[in-house]
Amino acid sequence: MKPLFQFAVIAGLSLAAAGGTWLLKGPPEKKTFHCDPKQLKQDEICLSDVSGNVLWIDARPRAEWKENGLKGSILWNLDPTEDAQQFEAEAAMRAVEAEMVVVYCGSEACGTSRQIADRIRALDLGPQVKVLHGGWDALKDSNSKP
Amino acid sequence: MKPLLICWLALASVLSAAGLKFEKDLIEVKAPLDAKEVIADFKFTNDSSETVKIKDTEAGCTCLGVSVSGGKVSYAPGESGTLRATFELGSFQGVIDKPIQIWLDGDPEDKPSTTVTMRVDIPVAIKLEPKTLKWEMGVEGKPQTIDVTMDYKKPVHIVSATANNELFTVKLITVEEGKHYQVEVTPLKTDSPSLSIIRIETDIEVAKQRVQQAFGVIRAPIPKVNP
Repeated sequence: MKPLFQFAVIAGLSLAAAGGTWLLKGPPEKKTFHCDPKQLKQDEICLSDVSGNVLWIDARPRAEWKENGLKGSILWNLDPTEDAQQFEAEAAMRAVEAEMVVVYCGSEACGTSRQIADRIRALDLGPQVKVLHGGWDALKDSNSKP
Repeated sequence: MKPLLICWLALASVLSAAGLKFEKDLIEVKAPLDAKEVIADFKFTNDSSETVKIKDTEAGCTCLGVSVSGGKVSYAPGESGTLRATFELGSFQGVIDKPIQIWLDGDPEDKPSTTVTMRVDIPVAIKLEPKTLKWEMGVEGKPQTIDVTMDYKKPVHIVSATANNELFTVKLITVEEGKHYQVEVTPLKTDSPSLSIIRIETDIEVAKQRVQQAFGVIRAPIPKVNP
């Protein structure tokens, strides 16, 4: 029984320490996305650096874009059930009026936004084309959504 | 204290990085022009000393189906399996990378243990160069041409070339019948920003590549954006 008692004592002490910390310092901070400019790839941009007349392109699935896509954003993803030419045409029509095009997808790991950005860049319409570092993770953690 | 130490060691071993080792983390597949789907098989082995359980896979696109051989999710040390990715081509052209994220038991929700990538190369039978013709606002709108070349086993003819904006005129020039064309585009005036979609319809038998589009743009100089 001695080891069990010792285990209970250690667990109890840990719990008391955690509770004390909670009371003194408050609950743990919510994990938010942080954009480190040093880690940016050449075609990426931090949300805090996005300004001016921007065309936002949502590269997530249509259902996610409909649910919470940025206001004014347009959809362009790599879903084969979608009309890729329609995406391209709409992006071209809107991009010519913009100073910058920023593409975001579901997360930092999602590679779709980079592929979409490459396609827009290849159209050579004029505006700078960037990939949002952190994608939707960066947007959902932001208090100042564009 | 001995039992306590054993408990701690047991817990630590569970948390340590048990994992699957993939033979390749990138597989490139060349898709035939008329294919509807292509498949890539990612072979893996559990090279850890623990049994590994595949908890979830995510391809981030309805175009990519992922399955594990025989629906088996639990792999003993040294055991091998195959993760099959099936990509529906739709109307895609060119090179597309599709990452597949794999979560094992114990992985944090936001960080899968492994990501493998399927790269699909879909041939482009009708090449347009350039895709966009540009004129500066206020400058005389001289004619510019889009070079259209066919890279297909049979001759491909342009059936029509039209602009959806009446401020642009389009003229089709045949360089080599069934092989090479030029589409000449001229803006009637350049006093305001404008865009036209140049629609090029061909008789290629692959339906998804039959219609191609390019763009004619009249725009004001773009202000420089930082950064």
